[in-house]
Amino acid sequence: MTIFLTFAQQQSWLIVALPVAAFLFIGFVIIIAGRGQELAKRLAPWVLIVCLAAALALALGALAGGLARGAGGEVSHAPEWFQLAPAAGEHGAAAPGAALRFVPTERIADWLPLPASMGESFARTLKIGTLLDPLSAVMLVVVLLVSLLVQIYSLSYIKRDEHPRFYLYMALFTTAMLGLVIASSLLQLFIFWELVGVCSYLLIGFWYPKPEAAKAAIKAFVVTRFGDLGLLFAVIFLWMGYGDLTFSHLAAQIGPAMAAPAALPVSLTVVAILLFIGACGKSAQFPLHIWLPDAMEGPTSVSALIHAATMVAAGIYLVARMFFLFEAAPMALIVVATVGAFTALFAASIGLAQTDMKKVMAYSTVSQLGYMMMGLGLAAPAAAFFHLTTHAFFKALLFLTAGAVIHAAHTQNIWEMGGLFKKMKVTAITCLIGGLALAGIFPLAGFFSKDKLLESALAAAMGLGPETISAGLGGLILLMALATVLMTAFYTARMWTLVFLGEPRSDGAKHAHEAPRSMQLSLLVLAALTLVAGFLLVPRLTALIAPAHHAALAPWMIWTLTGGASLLAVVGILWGYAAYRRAPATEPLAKLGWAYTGLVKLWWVDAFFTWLAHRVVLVLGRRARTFDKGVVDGLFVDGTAWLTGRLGVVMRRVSAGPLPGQLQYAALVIFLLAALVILGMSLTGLLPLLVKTAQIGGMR
Amino acid sequence: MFSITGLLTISGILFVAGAAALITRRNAVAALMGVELMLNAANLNFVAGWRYFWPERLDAHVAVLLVITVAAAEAAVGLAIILNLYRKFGTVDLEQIRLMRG
Amino acid sequence: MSLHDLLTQYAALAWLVLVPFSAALVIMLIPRGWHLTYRLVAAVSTGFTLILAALLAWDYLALIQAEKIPGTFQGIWHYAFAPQAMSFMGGKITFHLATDGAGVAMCLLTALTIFTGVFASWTLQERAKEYYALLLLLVAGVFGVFVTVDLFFFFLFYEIAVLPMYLLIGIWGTGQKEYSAMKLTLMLLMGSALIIVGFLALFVAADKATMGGGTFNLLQLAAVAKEAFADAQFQRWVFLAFYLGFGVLAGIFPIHTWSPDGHASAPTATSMLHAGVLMKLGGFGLLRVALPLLPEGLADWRWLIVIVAAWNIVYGAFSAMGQKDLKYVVAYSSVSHLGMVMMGLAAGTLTSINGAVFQMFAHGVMTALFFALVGLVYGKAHTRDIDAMGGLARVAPGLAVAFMIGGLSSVGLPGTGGFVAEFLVFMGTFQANVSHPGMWIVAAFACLGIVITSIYVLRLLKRVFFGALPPKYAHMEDAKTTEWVALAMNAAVILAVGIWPKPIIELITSAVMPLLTIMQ
Repeated sequence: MTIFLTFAQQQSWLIVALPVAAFLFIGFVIIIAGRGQELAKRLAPWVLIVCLAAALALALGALAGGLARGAGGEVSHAPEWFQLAPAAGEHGAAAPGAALRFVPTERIADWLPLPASMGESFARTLKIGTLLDPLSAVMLVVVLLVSLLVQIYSLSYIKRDEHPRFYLYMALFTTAMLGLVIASSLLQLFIFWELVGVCSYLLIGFWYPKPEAAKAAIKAFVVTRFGDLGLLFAVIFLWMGYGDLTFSHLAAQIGPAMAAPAALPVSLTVVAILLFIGACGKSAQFPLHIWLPDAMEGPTSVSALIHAATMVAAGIYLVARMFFLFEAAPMALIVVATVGAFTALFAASIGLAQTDMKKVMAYSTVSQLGYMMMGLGLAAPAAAFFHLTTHAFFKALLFLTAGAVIHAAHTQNIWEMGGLFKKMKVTAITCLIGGLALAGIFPLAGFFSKDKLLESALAAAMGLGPETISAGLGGLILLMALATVLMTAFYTARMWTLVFLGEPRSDGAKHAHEAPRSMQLSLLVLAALTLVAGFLLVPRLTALIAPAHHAALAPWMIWTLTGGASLLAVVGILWGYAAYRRAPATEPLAKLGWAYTGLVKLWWVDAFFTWLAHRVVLVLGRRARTFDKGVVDGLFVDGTAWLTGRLGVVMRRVSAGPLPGQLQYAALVIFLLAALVILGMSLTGLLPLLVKTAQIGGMR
Repeated sequence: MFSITGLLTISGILFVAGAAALITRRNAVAALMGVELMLNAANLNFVAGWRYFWPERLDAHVAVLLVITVAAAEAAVGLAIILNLYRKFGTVDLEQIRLMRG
Repeated sequence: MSLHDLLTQYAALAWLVLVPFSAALVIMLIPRGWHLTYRLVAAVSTGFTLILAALLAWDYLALIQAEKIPGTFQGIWHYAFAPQAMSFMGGKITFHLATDGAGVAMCLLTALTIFTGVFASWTLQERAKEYYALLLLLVAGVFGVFVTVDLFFFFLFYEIAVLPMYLLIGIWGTGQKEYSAMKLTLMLLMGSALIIVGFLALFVAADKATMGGGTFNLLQLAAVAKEAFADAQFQRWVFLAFYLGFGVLAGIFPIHTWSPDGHASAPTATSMLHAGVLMKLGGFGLLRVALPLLPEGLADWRWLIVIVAAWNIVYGAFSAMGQKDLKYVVAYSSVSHLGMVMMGLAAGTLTSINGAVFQMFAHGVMTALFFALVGLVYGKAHTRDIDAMGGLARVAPGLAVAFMIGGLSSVGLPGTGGFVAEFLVFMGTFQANVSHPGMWIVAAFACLGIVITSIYVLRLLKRVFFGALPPKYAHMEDAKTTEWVALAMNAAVILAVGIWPKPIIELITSAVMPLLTIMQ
């Protein structure tokens, strides 16, 4: 057992290598057998599932190994071809109140050797490797667990004909996501960060003959890419300043008390904000959230894995990973907290009025990610990470139930569903569990993690948060967070009521039937996780990543907050249930007037970006084309050619014309040449020289 | 006596006048006279150079004699050509005479 | 006998030039109509150069590992080919073949591109004999440029590389081929005129400084560069001549317009070779001649070059977005990407020059892949109009995958060569002038090109390969047999250098380090 734990820890790259192997194998089978062949269809899912199961075992082993070493204090050595860098001390520090300790393991290899520039004492080599610390170890398990369950679910959700391609992409995605999580340097994280973006692009566009899918795929890629620019700049600036992008090196060099190096061209605050812009793109924070709802064009299992549980959490993961930078640049925390809280409220409000079941969940995801970002901004990374973990479980669960419902009812519009509770009891109940967790009802996972986040907001409101966040701003954030609790509960209840209660409102809903076994299995496992993740082990593991930053609040305050938030959630649920119990013919929210218009129009953010894309960027492209053809090419190049041609015509006329014309031309040229020579000589100061030469000639 | 400047100026005027006649006159005979003028301007230059720079050398005289000879030959050949042109085209107007197709 | 001794003793570099050249002659001697024979001769000879280039790279890496590459400009040249034995004009002109790490990397690129290019034009029927002969002649010239260190022969090979293009486009091209061929040739010759002026200026200056010991040999020029080219005015104007002269080939704004028309009209293998390799000669010329000999000239014009390069990147990307013809999109993307090469070279830091040369390599492979793909799509769909296509991924998944790999490299996605190149160029440029924020503001502007690139590449993918399949393409075929060679090899190399860039970077660094010592 110990051998396995040590092995899992030392060879953690295998966790990434296993899905790579699956990817290559599936790709190979497709190439030799053709993707229409029975062999590829049969093999593809199982290859991936087996590899993921093995990787999950390894990840659990690595997690347990780290904890065991934390308990035993045993240190082992890495093989020679990897140099073992000194472990970053602060990551392994025991969180107060937790008996658990985790000893990180780090392996680093040179990826792109760059010697030192002139006058520098350190090489600027770019490194890659693996880093196992509480953050990455827990995240690995979460990613693999959800991924494995989604693959099992997809066995019957995705049509058999599409299996080879689907599992090929999924293998690539899992590889990239695991690579991102286990990355030991910011550069490597960036590499896999982009790679998960591509996988997301491929999977959103999985049903590429559908124009909306192809469009949504591009939108997702381009919008996140916009954010990635921020991350790219941050990476470049950090590289300029510190030369080495491994987390351990950066963490050792960046701290609140440490002066930024002279080679860093901008302040750490700017770097932190740039980093945050990258996180905004990937984690769909306002105003770069617009791609995530559109991404729901992809298969639902993809939405569950990528656009709810794992990839969209990468932004949160990034900020948590680089949290030492944000601590050193606390001004940036204001931005993080404000954007996070605003996104939570903003997206929740849009979620209220959505009619597409997946879109409701998509906006809910944006909103919950906003929560996590808020937690990070309030210097509570452990709480944010806790919520990330529980959210991964219950949101994946919700999406998978949505997939089951859509599979059965052949519609995504919640107004065309209804009465499904009787027909699909397992789905309905698991969906209810997920929904209650989302709303934050005791004792489900979401309750605990959301409570921790609200605690940090309360602390900020009392001026106990990060010193840059004033009590006023903290109070505003707390208000936004509490409003979000109410809205979340309302739209969750609205969705569940409309989908599962009442009478079927379409043919599809009338003939719906329960999902196949493999889908149910995934639902049940995730529901079980949602039930227990709030209090069993997960809070202690996630607390390992960082001690709580705010000063302890008095117990009565915490209890009041918990009670108040729960009350809000219950009110929201009852309100939503009451309003939609009878599936009214008109949307009750329409009474809100202009606000309802705003909700339906997504607060015009999408419209703005559509305008930007179609009326500005594409038009600029067309303009550039005409400019190039007309001005650069037409005026300059063809113009020169035309001029030369005209000159030739003129010359032909002269040189073939009557004698006086030719002579006049010759005289003109001689005159011009002489003028040019004299002008040139006087400009270059050679004229006296000429005179002198003439004089010398004269003396001879 | 004349100064060198005066002589060169006169020679310059002669040269320009000859060149102007050459390139502007439409009558071939007039153009030929322009050439003669230019040649004589050159002759004047030679003589002036001999007088003021190298009075001891004879190069200039040789050159002047050569030019006079060439001018005479040129006038003879030129007039013969003009005569032939007149026979062929019926005019000595240079603007009217075009053999090349441009 | 070790590999290195073998390569040196048997003058491997000379073979690189000689084999394609003699293959061209052999093809001309083969009777008309023996199509398979031409192809086999071309494939075998280029295959040989590919193996040779790979061996050279392998051996050069071994030299680097063994630390046999001294860090001085004089010491980095290898596989020298008898400079004394073949000298003309009393040693002023020498047939001196030698190369450094960057040259080896470029030779590898050239060999790869021509080898795959031969396969990409496997089905060409019309005047195949002359076509292959010209193609091979062109490649001999390209190899010559990369391996010679004598400016006279540099120029000679440069012209040999440029001129066959006129015939290749004019005879085998499509569309307004005569116009394109004429435009391309004239504009490139204008560049050549400036280059030869620069070369002569170098020669004369060296001649003056050494009292008649002038030479075209780059190594000897480098040895006297400090005294001979000390004059600031000389550096400034001669460098400008080189910048504009080589810049034509590197497609700098506003003298880039020969490239889209030329590429669009050229036959497949010619486009591959031209965009893949020939356009790199511009950047390579600057790297080889102008940077080491005229570093102060670079410093004078740095701002101009970097700003023009940034404009190239963004402008090229926007122009590519507005195009309707598949080939024009790819051609304008080259204009955009070569801006990155110029930017990296001009920024002048180790990282940025590394990135620039890496970009030459990565972009060469990528664009060769692209043009091979466009040729295949055109051959199968009989159109290059983007609006007329759609949904081709359904019938030609292989083409779609290859296109996506190329496209993602173009976007600069990690895991592809394009990422490494762009990342290094931008890092290096940001780094170039820390105290002066202007430099990274320009670089940041250029980064906008990345986003625009992702928009046009993905829209292209969408409009050609995704969406609904027009019925007329329902029976279109995927790539098959020989066509796969071009796609698979180039795609594999893109991924390989993206995932493990270390070897190529080591080759390049070995050449750039000494250069920087000179430039300081």
